[in-house]
Amino acid sequence: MSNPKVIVISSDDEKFPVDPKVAEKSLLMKNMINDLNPDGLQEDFEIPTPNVRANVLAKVLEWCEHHKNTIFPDDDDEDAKKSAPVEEWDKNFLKVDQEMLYEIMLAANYLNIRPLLDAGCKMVAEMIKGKSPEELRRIFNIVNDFSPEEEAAIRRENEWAEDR
Amino acid sequence: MRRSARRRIRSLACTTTTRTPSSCSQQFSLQLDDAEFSFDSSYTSSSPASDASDLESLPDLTEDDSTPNTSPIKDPVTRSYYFQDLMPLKPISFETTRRDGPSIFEIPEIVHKILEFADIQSTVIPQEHTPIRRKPLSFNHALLIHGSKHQAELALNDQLPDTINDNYETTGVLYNCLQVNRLFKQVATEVLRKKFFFSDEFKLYQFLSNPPDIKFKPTVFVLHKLFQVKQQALDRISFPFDFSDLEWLELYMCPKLIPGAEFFKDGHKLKKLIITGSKVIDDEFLKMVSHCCPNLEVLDIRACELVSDAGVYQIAKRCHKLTTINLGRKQRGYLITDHSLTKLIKNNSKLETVGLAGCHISDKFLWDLATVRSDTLQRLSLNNCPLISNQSIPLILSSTTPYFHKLSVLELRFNYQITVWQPVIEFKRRQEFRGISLLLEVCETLMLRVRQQEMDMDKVISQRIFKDILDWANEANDGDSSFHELLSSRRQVALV
Repeated sequence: MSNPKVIVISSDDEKFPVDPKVAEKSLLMKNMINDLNPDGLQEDFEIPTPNVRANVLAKVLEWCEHHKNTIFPDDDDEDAKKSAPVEEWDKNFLKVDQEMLYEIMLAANYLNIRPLLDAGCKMVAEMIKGKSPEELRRIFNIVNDFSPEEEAAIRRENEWAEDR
Repeated sequence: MRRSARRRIRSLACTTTTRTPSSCSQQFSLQLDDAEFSFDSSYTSSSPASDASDLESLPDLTEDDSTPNTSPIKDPVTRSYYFQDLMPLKPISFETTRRDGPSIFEIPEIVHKILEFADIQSTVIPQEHTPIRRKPLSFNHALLIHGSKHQAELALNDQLPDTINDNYETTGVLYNCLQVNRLFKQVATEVLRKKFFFSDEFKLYQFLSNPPDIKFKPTVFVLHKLFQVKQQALDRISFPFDFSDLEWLELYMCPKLIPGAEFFKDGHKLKKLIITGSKVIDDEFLKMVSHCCPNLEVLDIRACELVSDAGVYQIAKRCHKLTTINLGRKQRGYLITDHSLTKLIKNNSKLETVGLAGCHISDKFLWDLATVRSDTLQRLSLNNCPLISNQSIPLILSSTTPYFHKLSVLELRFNYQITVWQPVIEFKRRQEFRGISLLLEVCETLMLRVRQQEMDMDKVISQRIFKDILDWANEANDGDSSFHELLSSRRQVALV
């Protein structure tokens, strides 16, 4: 076969054939491909992703396809990268409902696609701004596991940090 | 809420043939497989739901969801226990748009990333902004700079559109996150301990009187305009801190404070040291810094008037990565001279910003600076330097020399001894041609001088242009055909 593909299989058994180059945006898949095919890909190679549903996987692979030629700086490139705003295309790409955004982030976390996860985290970080603890719990569906006394203690101990 | 949790346990117990869940988590997860659809959908109530109407049909949920504003206290142990049991069950798949497994807000790594970004996006470290240009000293000064009355008034009132307002918006992002739940508190604390800054004495005392149980390991340590805070307070703050990650240390206008040796013990990461207006920083201090912090890039010790050549020399000897140095001062400028600075500029090949306001530097030093650092230097402040004269700046900037081609800011306020401004004006115009709009800051008297000389220059230029036109127009052999030829050619055209 001339151009072997990587076939990514979603949790609901949908198959997505993609170029190895696209799949390798995911470090997890990249390592799998390289470890199991030390001599390079000879034939189609299946990778199941049991944690990722088909419509999420489609989104993630769309991102990989778009960024297949983007070179991302390696690892902790410190503050410059951290403080960079989300790229316009990524921003539009991630304009989905909250649930979908979270699932994309989970998938990016699982598949080890750092730039995608970072972009998602930045989007969520923007949602945090100007929200009270109550509001945060509500919009993110987080359960409060503090007792009222603990909450009061935290507020008291951290008064100095009100502007942080 | 506890009631509902208990009810869930009861329903769970039924499905697992009345065994208590805690005693047999393994068997339970195996049995659950795809049999307990209703149970699964009910526990996902705690994961984010996109479709509220979908949820209302579930009895357990309506109770949970009806009181979102009062932060219901649920039993976390029971809940996470369900999650752990169910996670390994891969075959479960739903037609609904929801998935199971933890929410992103339960994965510490992701929460950490989110809060870190949120912190970067919103936390404002108190800092003095560099003004885009200095405020004019008087109305006449403003008029000279801006030309029109209206613009001058705006500039005087600090209302020109390009001035930055430094009003800090207190966002409280981390403070709010501390109170969300245990995981958020843990992560927010982790982020919080990396930056330590105060610009409010009251808050600082609040911190000191009830120190939180946080082991600070700051990369940033900034105290901003705490005029009254005493050394004792700083010692108490810094005592339990771990400074091995410190990259940026700033004590802006905190005249009574001097950072002790503990700040610099592992000083090789320190890149930015800003201590302005200190009455206690001295040469000994700079000597210690020079020994501990070889990687310093920014050193701003404006208005630290105890510092002299001796201290700067130590820095020059051991710090070779400086990009910014500011030694500007109003008094005791005679303490800073060529002796230390010549060595400093020789050893630091990346200098971009040099501030020497009020220092007693000579013309020779400026020539040295021009010859060794023209390739990097972008901003140079020489306000009120009494020893520089027409022998340096006007000559260095003249069109016959190649120096300072990257310069974009040049401050020369109060240098009345400089009388020749034409080369400076020409330099400014050349820079514009290179695509750099040079900001030239001078005081009112000098601005008047600059404008007059500029006018004279323009006069000469326009006279030259006018003369050229006259010459050309009156030249006998200017390439035009004569009037007679013109008439005859017209006649021929008419005949044809």
